[in-house]
Amino acid sequence: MEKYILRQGLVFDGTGQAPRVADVRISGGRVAEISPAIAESTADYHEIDARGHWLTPGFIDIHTHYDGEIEIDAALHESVRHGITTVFMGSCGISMVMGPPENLSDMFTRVEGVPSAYVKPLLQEIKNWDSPGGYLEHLAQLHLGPNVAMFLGHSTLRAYVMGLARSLTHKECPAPHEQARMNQLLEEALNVGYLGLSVNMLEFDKMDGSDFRSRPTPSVYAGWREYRHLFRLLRQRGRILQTIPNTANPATFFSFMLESAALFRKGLKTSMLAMIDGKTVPGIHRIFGHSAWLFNRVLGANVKFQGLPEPFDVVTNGFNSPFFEEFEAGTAYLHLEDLAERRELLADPRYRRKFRKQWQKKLAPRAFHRNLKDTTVIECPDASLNGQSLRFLAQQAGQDPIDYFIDLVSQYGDDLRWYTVVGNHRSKELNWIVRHPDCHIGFSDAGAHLRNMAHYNFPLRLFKFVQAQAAEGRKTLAWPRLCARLAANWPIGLGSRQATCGKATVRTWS
Amino acid sequence: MIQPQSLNEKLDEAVEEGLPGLPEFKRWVRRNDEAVPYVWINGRLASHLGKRCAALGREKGLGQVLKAK
Repeated sequence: MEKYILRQGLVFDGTGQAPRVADVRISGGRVAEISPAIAESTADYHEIDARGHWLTPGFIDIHTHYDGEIEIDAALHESVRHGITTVFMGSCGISMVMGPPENLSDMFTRVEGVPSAYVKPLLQEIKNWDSPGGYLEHLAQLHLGPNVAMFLGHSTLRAYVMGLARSLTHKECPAPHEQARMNQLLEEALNVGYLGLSVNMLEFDKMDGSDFRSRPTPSVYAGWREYRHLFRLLRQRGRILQTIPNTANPATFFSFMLESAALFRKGLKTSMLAMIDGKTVPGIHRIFGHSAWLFNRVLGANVKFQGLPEPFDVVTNGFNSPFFEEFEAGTAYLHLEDLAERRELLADPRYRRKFRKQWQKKLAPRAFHRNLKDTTVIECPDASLNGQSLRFLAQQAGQDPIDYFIDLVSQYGDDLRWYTVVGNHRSKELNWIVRHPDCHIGFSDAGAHLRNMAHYNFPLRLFKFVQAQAAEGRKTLAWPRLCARLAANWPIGLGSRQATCGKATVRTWS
Repeated sequence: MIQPQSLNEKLDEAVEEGLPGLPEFKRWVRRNDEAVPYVWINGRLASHLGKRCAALGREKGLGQVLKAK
């Protein structure tokens, strides 16, 4: 067994207490001792000089989609390298828990921006589990890098019980025996240690594959009656609902707040997406924050919003991003897989008119700002375009910006890579978010949107952000509090990551 | 174990790196290997200055399946 003594690092124990310089002894897989000076070690200890360094509990990534990658390389080093030692999977309604591999892959790959060729053949080859317990047993056999905890995806559950075709059909409700089966499977999952259920109401997250291509995922088709059956179970058991409301229908945010409230019943622990200072609706994060504060303190709700401690920036290849699934013309393009067919579509004047009309529609709620001035081409086969905004390039070419953009995508397809910041662009507002007591820091989407989003190192960027805020004289999170938020503030009723001595401490959701 | 002096702009710089098992597919990531000299998971050394340690992904005993109770 590996044994270490880390000498004279600044120890943040994850409880929120002030840090102290101390020696840390690691032995038997645990933090065995923290004290000002540990005596000379025996030869079987590796000594590490930690002077000038911080020692913190490992960080938790509360929102990943490693469900695919973990089957290829369970090390998940892209997160571990930044100090993340626990990841949650099964987010956003999608998990690999049960059902035919093809269905699981088709629900996952387009939504999460992971190549189908990377996931589908692999699942077909290896999948030998088909139940919540069986999946955990499978995970336990892998050479896991970080610790893993699971949500059961509601899309997974619905497709498994009702069959994929019916789960993707409007107005198809589960028959009573099917509802009972869903409850039973969720209960089985909770019994074997799942954190809870994940639900996704986003209509722009679309199915991959050929059979049901471009329909939203199964969770979207469920009614509140079905959701409520399952929520009742979560409430009884004190487990967690992870959910994405429908951005096209903001009322669903409040429906989830009400579901969480303890109105003649237990409150429902709800982890909702997302407290982001989005450019499309300035101030939306404050509405979420204030609502959570009010519902949690007055109505006994237990809502936490997931938030990122950094600008929410995205690289897009052509139109290849969920943001282009927010309007029909974008989805029609992404529905096609063949470049020649896509080009043909983009050349159709009727299509272009529709694209323009929907792109410019002012009132429709949406996540992406669609401001071409606020873009930068970062990689184009025509390198002379790099570094400029699409709007500027259109002006240079003497063309209308939308026409220019469509032409450029028609010419270069996914080889045109462009960058934009979607939200969290104002540091004062970002500081408000990370300090909010009802914000859980996380939502990296690790293992998803592989070519588009890079938030794997969010804990480190939070440290840097807080440092910069303090330097500007702004009131922000204190270091110890910050370590506690990254490492121990979540959930879970399973051992969380406090570096107090001995066994990992069990904490409840706070 | 964190090197606080390396919590700098490099954390924000994005680069493209190959995916495990599919190296020709480039994923967008941000890395500053100097910021995290050591990572232990359940008492086992997992990562050192951005490099995988021998046991990571090859042996059991690092990450575990955590179960809610």
